[in-house]
Amino acid sequence: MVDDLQPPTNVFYDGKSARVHSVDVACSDLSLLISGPTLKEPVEWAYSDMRNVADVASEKGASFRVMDGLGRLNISDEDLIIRLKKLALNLNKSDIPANMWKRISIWGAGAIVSVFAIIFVIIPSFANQLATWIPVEREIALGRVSLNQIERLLSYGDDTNLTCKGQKGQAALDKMTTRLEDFINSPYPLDVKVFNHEMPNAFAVPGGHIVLFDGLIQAADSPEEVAAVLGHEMGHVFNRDPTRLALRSAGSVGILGMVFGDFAGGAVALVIAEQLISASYSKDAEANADVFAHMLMANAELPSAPMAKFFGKLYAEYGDGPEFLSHLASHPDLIGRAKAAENADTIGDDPFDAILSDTEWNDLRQFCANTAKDG
Amino acid sequence: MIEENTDIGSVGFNGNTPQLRSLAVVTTLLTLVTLGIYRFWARTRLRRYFWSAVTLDGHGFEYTGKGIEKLIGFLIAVAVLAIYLGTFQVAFSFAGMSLFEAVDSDGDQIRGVLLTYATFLFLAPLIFYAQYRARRYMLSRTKWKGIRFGADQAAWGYAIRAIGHWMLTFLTLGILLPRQTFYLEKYKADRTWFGTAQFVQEGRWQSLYPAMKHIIMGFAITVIGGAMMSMLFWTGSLEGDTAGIDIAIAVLAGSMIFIGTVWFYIGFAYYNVHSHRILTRNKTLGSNIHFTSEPRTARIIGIYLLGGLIISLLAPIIAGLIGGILGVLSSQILSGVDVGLGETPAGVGVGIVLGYITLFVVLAVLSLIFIKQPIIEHFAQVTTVHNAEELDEIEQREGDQMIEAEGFADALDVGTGF
Repeated sequence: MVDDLQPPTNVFYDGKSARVHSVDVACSDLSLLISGPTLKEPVEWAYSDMRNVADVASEKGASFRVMDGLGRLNISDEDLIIRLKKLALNLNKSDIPANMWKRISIWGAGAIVSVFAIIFVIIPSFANQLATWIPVEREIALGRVSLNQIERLLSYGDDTNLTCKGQKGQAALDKMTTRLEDFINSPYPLDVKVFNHEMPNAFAVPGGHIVLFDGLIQAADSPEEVAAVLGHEMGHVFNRDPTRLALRSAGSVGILGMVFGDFAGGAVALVIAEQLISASYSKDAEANADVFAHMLMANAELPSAPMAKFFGKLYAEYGDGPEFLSHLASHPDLIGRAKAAENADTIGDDPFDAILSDTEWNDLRQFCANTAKDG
Repeated sequence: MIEENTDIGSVGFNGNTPQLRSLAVVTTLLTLVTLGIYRFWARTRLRRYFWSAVTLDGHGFEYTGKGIEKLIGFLIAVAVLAIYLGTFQVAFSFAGMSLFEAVDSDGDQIRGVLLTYATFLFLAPLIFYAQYRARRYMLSRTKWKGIRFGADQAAWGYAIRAIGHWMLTFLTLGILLPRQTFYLEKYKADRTWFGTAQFVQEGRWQSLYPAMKHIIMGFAITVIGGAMMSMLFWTGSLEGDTAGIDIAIAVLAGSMIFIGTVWFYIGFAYYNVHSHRILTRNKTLGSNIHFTSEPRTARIIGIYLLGGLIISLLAPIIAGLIGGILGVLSSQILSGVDVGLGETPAGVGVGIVLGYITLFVVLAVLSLIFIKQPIIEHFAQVTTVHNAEELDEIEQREGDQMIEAEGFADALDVGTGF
């Protein structure tokens, strides 16, 4: 900046009117004395009360204020500034009143309670209620859309159809579905599919759409293991879990966005928090779906022990770690779930009427391989 | 550059880029490290810098807001808004799901649009309320020559009027936009104070119509282009005797739509700049203090384009370099230490993470230096206060406590850009 534009050496704003005072500054033992021809009476600032005016954009000089005061003193004499910095030792000290911390703790607690109440109590119960009011045909249509999206995502946008087709495989799948379905009164017609994908996974979307992955069928040693997983997904359908979870996360995402704001660290925190919340939401849903699956297996006079065996196998192969990020494992305690399945078994070592014959089981295992050949 | 105007009432800018750079780096890093909590202090410190960089008659403005009051304001807003927003969002996704019919149906799209407007109507009062309060907070924390600015408590009145004007503008397809701009500005200006002196917005809303000329021009060109294009589709194929002419018309119509659209958007920038000019000319403070502020549309668009170009060129280079260097360094430090990153060499992982963080810091810093600072500088340089000597007569006004600060605007993420 141009030098001759600098205001006179010491400028004082008295905080009462917009008149500017050109002042002299004298340092006494304990205070700074500000006087000038335009000031009615000299102003005295105790050094201990003096504070910096920080982050000022200028190359020269410094600006000072006094705690709880409106006056401002701008000094451009570097020697005086150095002297003042030695005398006034609290220049960089915070002058936040003590009751600020009380206010922060009160409102902080209020904000935390409010956010937790809304995320863990109000939104879930609201969502559970609303989920039962959505017309079934809307849910079916919605589910179909999200199913198409998932299919496109899993095939990496190749636009290939992942759904396996073939008369024999479909017949085996239908037989399995029918035997389990006999005992439930599903709110929707069930639509069970197999995706040609190597991940050992299965999921349900709103409206009774269930998808088993070929990877899961290949990982299973018996049709009962697959049936148990299918029963689990039916449990989600019966409880309308996909719809409830969609409504819940719509509510919680908005709140989290508000809490964390839009900046880099916030985006990461938002994703982590959303994961934690949805995991805690789905923990109950997963446990209930397991119980439902045990019940279906028992009603169909099938053992649920294979489910335990299957979980044990998945645990041995993938552990509880992040590698196995499937919908099935969003409740990560595979061992605990395996034990629950073991305990729920009603057949034990007794003989039972297998859900699929050896030929049908083979058809199901070849379902996707045959589709690929045909295609 | 040095065409300083020493006349009384001249507004200047004495920003100091190295100072801004270090301030921006420090505040952005602290914001990242504290998972965002520091953002209240970061914003406070940047405002202090920018406020003090703008001078009137050589006296800098001062920002007296505090980070802690912003934090409290934010907590208050979260406590109050969480319940409203949470239930509201669940209800709206429920409505969305219940109305949903099938894939790609026209009915769904129309319902989707209507639902978006309904969402807006539910949120709009809050947004306008928050914006007014944020402005009031900012004014109450702004000082010049030790005298406070201030605004009256009138946030709900503003919210109601804002919704009314927006609806009127929407229903008249934008024809009443100048009326909206004028009356909303007048509502705010007439409730704004510097010390004991009150601002008044004078003038007529019709005088803003000339500022709209480029919006209308861009719109007209787009519409004519669109009409030509659709006529071509109706009257037949691009075959036969007239094929050559048809293709020429299609090219012409296509470029008209393109040019018209760009014109239309630039027209909005022009409108904002020129309505600001007209409104500023018609403001008074106290009995006889007037203002002029004549920013130029081309300069502002130029700052955004040039700044955007510089940022998009520099940011990846700087972030890549810093991330790479830190990655190499950390891989040497971490060599032999298993940090659980599996097969990836630890240095690569650390380098990517650090590069990513650096990119955010660099983007924030560069946009302050190459966009925000030049924009503020431009506005300062084109603004003048007339009869500024009368400012000396103005006395101090009472402080405005506002314990919730700008918390609502912050939580709703509206209007706290500075």
